[in-house]
Amino acid sequence: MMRIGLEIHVQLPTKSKLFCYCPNAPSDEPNMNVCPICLGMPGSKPIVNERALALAAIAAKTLNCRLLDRTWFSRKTYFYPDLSKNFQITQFEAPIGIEGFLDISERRVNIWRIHLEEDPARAVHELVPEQESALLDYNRSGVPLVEIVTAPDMDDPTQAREFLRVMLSELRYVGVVLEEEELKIRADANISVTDGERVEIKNITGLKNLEKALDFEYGRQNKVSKVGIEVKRETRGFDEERGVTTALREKEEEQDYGYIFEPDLPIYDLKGLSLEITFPKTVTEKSQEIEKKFGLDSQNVKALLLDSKPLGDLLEDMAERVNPKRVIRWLNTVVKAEHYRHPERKLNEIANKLERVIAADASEKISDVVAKQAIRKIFETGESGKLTELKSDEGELESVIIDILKEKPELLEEIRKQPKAINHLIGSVIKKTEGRFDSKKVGEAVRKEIEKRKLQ
Amino acid sequence: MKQSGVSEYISAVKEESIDCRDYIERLIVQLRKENSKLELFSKLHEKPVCNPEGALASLPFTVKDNICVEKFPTRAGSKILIGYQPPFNATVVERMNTAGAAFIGTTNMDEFGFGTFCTNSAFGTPKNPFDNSRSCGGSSGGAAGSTAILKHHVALAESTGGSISCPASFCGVVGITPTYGRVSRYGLIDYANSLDKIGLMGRSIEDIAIALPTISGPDPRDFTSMIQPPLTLRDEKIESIAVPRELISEGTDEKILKMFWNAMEKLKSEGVVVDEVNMPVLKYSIPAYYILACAEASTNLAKFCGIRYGKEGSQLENMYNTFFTEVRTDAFGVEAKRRIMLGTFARMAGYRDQYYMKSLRVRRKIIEEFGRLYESYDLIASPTMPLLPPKFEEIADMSPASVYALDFLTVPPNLAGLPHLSMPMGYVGDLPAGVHFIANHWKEEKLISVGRIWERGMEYRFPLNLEGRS
Repeated sequence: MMRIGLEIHVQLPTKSKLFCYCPNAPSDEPNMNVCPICLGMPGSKPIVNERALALAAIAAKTLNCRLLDRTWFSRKTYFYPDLSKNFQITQFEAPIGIEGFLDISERRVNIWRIHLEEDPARAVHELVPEQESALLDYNRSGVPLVEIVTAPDMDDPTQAREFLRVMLSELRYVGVVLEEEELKIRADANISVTDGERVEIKNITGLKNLEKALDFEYGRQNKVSKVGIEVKRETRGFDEERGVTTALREKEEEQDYGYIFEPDLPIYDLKGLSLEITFPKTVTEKSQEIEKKFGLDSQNVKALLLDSKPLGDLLEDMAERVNPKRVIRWLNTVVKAEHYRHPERKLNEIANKLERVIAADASEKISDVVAKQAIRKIFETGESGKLTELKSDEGELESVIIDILKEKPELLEEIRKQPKAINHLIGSVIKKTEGRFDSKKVGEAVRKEIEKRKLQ
Repeated sequence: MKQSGVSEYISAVKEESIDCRDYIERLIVQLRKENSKLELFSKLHEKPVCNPEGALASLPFTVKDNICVEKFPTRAGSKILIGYQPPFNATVVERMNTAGAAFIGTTNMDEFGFGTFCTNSAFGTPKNPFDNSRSCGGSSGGAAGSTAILKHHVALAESTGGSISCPASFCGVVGITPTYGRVSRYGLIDYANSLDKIGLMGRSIEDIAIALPTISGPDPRDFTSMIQPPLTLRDEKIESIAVPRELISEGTDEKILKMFWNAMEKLKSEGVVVDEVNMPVLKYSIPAYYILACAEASTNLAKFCGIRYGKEGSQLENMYNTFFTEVRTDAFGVEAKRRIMLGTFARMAGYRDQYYMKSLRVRRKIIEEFGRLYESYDLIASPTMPLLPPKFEEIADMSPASVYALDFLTVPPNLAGLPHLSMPMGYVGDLPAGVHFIANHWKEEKLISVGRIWERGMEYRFPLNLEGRS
């Protein structure tokens, strides 16, 4: 049996940093977005970015946490070269939210707490590889992070990855994290295998690496205990290149951070503050709403919303005028795929054109084949082109099939040997009729014709 | 109303009967000479800028060495900040500059404010201008000493647990510590952020009353300054004063006590009711103060690690822990190391509840008790310090705990964030002693009012009256 718990750090998309006015934005030049506050210069004092406080509260609510009535900041003191003050301003006794949870496919993962803190500077090792030294880039120092701490509720690495993916999607939907965060997200993972001691893997970056690190650690702990050695309680790091975890330090007892209240900052009335925050609807709330309004399956809607908020918005809008079941079928398949293939194409600029195609399909004016081609064309060129209208003359369809079988009698032989080869025939018919017939109808007609011939 | 040297000077500058450039140049020359002996200044300004405009037109002002002055060495009395020149001005410095005052130098202090006698500076020991074999008091010793020798000047000083009142008393000057949060701390090198207060020293209550509005008021860069009511320095009638028995019972020099009761008699003759009261909780103020102050200080001093400013570590090939340990071992003084250790201990798991958290509760209790007294009294009074300025050889024999205990009069208002004022009370032989007045939060006007009453018929003595005139 395996138990996995996560501590996840997510960067908040505020305009400025958590405790100063510096821009919270990437910079190509190191040490550009800095000031006396985020550099920890003597005499500087922090001031709180209240937008970060609001975003953290939104994150907490989205993960079903209870917001505390009052919240404040604390100093966590430890000496580390990337920490400008050698203490980090974080939250200790009174985080933003506690006692939350998030449901993933097979289970509920409990969330212990979610709090706000400042990111340390970045230590750059790559530029001086031959030396045992590092350079410091303070652009990241003071960037607002939320830390999310889960209970050890995940049973395997796949679940941990799924949790992280779903959590990020939920937070992205309410605007608390940005699209690219999936690659940058940093997590510490606790893992223990069958009554063994808990091992912490520090600073894993990205979803893929999380699963890899946990897989490796699972294997390692199993091997160790199989040969009769006890798994030690320790902290390990993850080597991305080699895909292995390595020992950092033994953890006999918890490190003592000597927390004190941050005396330069106030106690916040979070209860009062949260009355002023507009909490956006979460994926769950929104999909229930859409389910009720349009009679759609909520799991289907949720899948779409978790993938992309803009597509969710498109669904809600289009379903007002076009058959909702058709709309979600197209959005969850072809439109979604094309949307990811063409990130440069703005959905709101092509929404009308997409709607015309999907509406034509829904009212059986065009075939699904034509619709699919048209949607692709919209994403590629911005225009759908002419929509070939659907025909219902089944006599024409039948004669086309007979013609093709006359030209290529070997197809019949193939289908007898390998029934799947029927798709070749269907494809040929669709091509020849230029999408004037619905693909389903073509399939039916072809099958009917083949059956007829089998009987002969 | 008594004459104010500061207002006299400002009028003279505005009427152009004083050429401020000439005045300040001459002043610096004299100060350089005095300072080689007295060590009151950390560094004198080479070329002060004088500005005959503004409310404080060209008024010479000094800045305690822990308040940042842009591109000027600011070292908080510590070797670890040698070479540091802040890239920005503290808000108070900015406000003085805007009012036209002329910055003439930084004043010497105990390292980071850790001390009662100004004997813990890495840059010499300030000598009391009344008697050079005696202490100026601490930690703003240089600020008080320079006020005692300069005729037209105010000093920006800072108090965490009594660092304005103590040296003001020892050097026979007026020192005000405003309510916590009245004056922005942006740019103050932190000792203990929940206790640090920037204040002023001057030669009369009017000197203080002229400069206090300039440095007060909300500043968005220091959150704790944002919730203050406006400062009004109207004359308030002072009807009643409470004297807690805990502040006059033991440990105070008898001559000082006698002088204090005479002072109370004088106030009574002005129509003020003076009552003795009990405030037993005060006996916990020294331990609570030292625990909170050291706990915060030990985190504040963590940032000094020899990497980005101040003294740089030389052994770059060392691992980080070894690297900063070497820098800190070499550059922190004994008292700084003691307070880092005390403070770190008080906030460690296992001790945190019984020391740090408990001290926070004691502080709250003391604030409540003070609040109760202010329901019936305008002010609280006591002597400022229980002793006259001691000789340096006497100080050398004192244990750290006995020195901490000497703060029992000045610590309570500092712990509670209450505004307080030390005024010269009289002289024992040639040495000054101070009387201490404590007002309720934000009631600085009551301190100014009692100061005006007190100064009627009071002759202050000053050892030197330096001015930039021949």
